[in-house]
Amino acid sequence: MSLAIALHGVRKQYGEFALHDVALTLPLGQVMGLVGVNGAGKSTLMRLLVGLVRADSGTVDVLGKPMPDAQVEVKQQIGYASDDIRLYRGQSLRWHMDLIGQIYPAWDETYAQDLLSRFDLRASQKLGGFSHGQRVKALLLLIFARHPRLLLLDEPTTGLDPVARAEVLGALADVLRDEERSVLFSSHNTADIEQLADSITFLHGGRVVASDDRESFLDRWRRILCRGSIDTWLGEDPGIASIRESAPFIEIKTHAFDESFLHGLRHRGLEIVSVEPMALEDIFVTTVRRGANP
Amino acid sequence: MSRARMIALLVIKDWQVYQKQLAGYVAGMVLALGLIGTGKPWASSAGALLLLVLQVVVGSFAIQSSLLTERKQQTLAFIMSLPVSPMDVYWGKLLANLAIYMLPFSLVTGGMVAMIMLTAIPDGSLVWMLLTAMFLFASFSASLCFAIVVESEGWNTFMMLALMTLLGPFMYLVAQLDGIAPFIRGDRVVWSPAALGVLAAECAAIAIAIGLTSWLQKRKTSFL
Repeated sequence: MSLAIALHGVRKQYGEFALHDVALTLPLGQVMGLVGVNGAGKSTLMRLLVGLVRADSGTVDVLGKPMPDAQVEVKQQIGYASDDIRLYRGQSLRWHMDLIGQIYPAWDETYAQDLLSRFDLRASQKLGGFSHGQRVKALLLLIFARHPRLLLLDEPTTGLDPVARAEVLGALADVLRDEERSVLFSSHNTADIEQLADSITFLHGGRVVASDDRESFLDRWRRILCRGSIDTWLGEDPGIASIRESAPFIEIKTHAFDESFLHGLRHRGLEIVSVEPMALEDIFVTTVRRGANP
Repeated sequence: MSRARMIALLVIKDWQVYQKQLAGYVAGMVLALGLIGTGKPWASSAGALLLLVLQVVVGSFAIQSSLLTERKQQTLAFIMSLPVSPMDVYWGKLLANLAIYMLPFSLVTGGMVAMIMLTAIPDGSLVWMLLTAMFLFASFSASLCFAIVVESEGWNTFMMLALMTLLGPFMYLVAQLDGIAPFIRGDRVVWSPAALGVLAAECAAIAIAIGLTSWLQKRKTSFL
């Protein structure tokens, strides 16, 4: 299987913060969503992948090449957008488009014009006059129109109003139709990730706490309401991520849901009231609070 | 795209971003040269002072805007996301700043050379004037390299002030040197061993500053 991204045993210390033994792979053509709270290490991970930071130890391979040593070659095929990136306020979007067009042979002016119209941007306008949403869209235009093989998007929809967010997600969905293109994108908004990602990784405190394909995540997790009494065995069951008593019910969240799990609960005297699927956000919060790998 | 072409593109990019402000400084310098050229004592001294101030300010402007402000305004992250290595960006910044500084510097130095050679000002002062100009260039190079390494606005200001404080003593001491003082008011341009020694020391200071900065830059592990 060809990999777009492969990290093994990656460590990076930044003052008090550290990434610990990060191991992660993203197959070519896949979309991975990276979920984590502020300071979880998402941006550091992205910077390692772009070659902006050198790992203290471990290996970082992107599109089959070691980073940051091969960064010039690799960045020809990467589109990296981050909340930290700003364009030149005194220059027009056209000036930026011309700059990018000179650097990337794959620059597609027709597609750029299409995105200009779709994002409702004026190429002649200086970036200093753009709103935050327009700046984000301008950056994404500069990335999408050069057809990168790998997109690394660090919080691309943060701070966008609902209309701009829908436009960006719509353009992103179009880009994702290309099955050769791989995407790693981080977001606070788990709804975006749930909508677009093939696989999901949770990062917390500089560690990967969970990583799996989306369907498995959503299939394995359930919120189960029961009646009965909490016994000591409940807390020892490795399949249970959280237990909360809210009389007369007991709420159990599990990452190991299947029929045998329910059978086990009934067998121990609990009456099942309801079984509900969990949203990704709820799964993330439960995972982080549990602080362990499910 | 070759590395050399990419670096050239980064230099042109910086030039385009800051060319309007630079044009303003150059216009000010042309005005200062015009004042000196009038030959009237008050205008000449005002022009010379303006020239010196503008040359110092243009150096500070180049470092401040293309290096420190770029980092502060987060446009550096945009540049680093392009297919460039950190060393490409370093060379691009170094060369762009030197080019931005060299334009007004060449104008001022060339204007001063023409004035010394074409007016009643003694030709012998040319060596002293060129050594002073070279001191300004070496100070700028040292400040630039220091700013690249420390990436701090405060330290950069301190460094520039410290170097500029040395300008007056430098001009005075060089004018007192045995191999320079006797010729300053003469009609002959004399590059004595002492003058050549000062020039070599200035060139060495520039080379050491750039060499040391390149070495430190190569050892960096984080580039934002």
